[in-house]
Amino acid sequence: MSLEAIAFAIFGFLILYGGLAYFLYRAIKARSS
Amino acid sequence: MPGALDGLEWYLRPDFSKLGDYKIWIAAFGQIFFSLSLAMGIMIAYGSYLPEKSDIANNSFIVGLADSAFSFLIGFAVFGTLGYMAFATNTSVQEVVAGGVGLAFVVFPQALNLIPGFPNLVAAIFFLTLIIAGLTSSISLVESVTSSLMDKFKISRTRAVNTVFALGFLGSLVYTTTAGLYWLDIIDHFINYYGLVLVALLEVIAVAWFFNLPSLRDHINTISEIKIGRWWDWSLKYATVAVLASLLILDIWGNLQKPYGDYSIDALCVGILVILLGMLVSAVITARRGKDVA
Repeated sequence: MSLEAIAFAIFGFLILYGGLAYFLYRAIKARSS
Repeated sequence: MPGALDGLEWYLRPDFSKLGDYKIWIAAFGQIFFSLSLAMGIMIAYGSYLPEKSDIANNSFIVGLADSAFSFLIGFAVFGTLGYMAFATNTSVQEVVAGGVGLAFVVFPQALNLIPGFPNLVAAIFFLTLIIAGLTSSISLVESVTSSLMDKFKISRTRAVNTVFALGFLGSLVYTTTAGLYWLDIIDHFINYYGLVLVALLEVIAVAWFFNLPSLRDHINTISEIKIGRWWDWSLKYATVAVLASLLILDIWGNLQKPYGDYSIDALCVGILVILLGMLVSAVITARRGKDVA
């Protein structure tokens, strides 16, 4: 696989799963407070 | 599987020149609208079941990101399989890639047939999961119609579901004909491309231009942790309307130049008729005096 493709895969996972984790964390934090 | 990495390369390697192609944008809109079940009434129906104080802004981010995250992950399985199929049949990935119904019912069965070991077992598992995916999607699709019928005419859930399923069964009989796959492809294309974008455009115009948008934003901000600024009003009123209208016009113009899938114009008129019929039925049901009207 090319470096571009690997970089794009990492970028996709970081944005999508990182974003999801961040908003889930905020939701859990808001619920527990 | 050999060739899978070539499929992933095809899936992940960016080609930024495609960003200038309006067809990519309208395909992306169609995909995300369908995936998020936007402009189908599903979000409105499900939204009405939320507790009154639900955090709308945060929930929207979670739903959007979760949907895209899972789609991105599934893409690895799909393109890995297609890469293997290209390797097994000694062709390029581009030649085996298909979209819509062609992917699920033509390309994937062929690809699964090539898998060494237990292709029949893998195919059975694939189609079982496809049936479950179809059933769970149909629950949400049917719910948007049944909840509207129940609210409008104050009928029982059983009666509403039976009515919708009976009509759906009769309407779906056309797909059992020899040309069923072609009908499905044409109707799927028109509903998912034009239908969804058109309905979304009309919904955005109705909400942004004929509804008190600041009061809606105030309500969202009151119950949400993440606050929405004035940019949201501007985005809905101008940006979303401009983008959706431009994409719709460009795609209609493109289809007039070169008909979708090289079908005849007569066949494509069926797709347009299905959209018009849907709008007509909605208008007739809306105009009818419901039992909830005082």
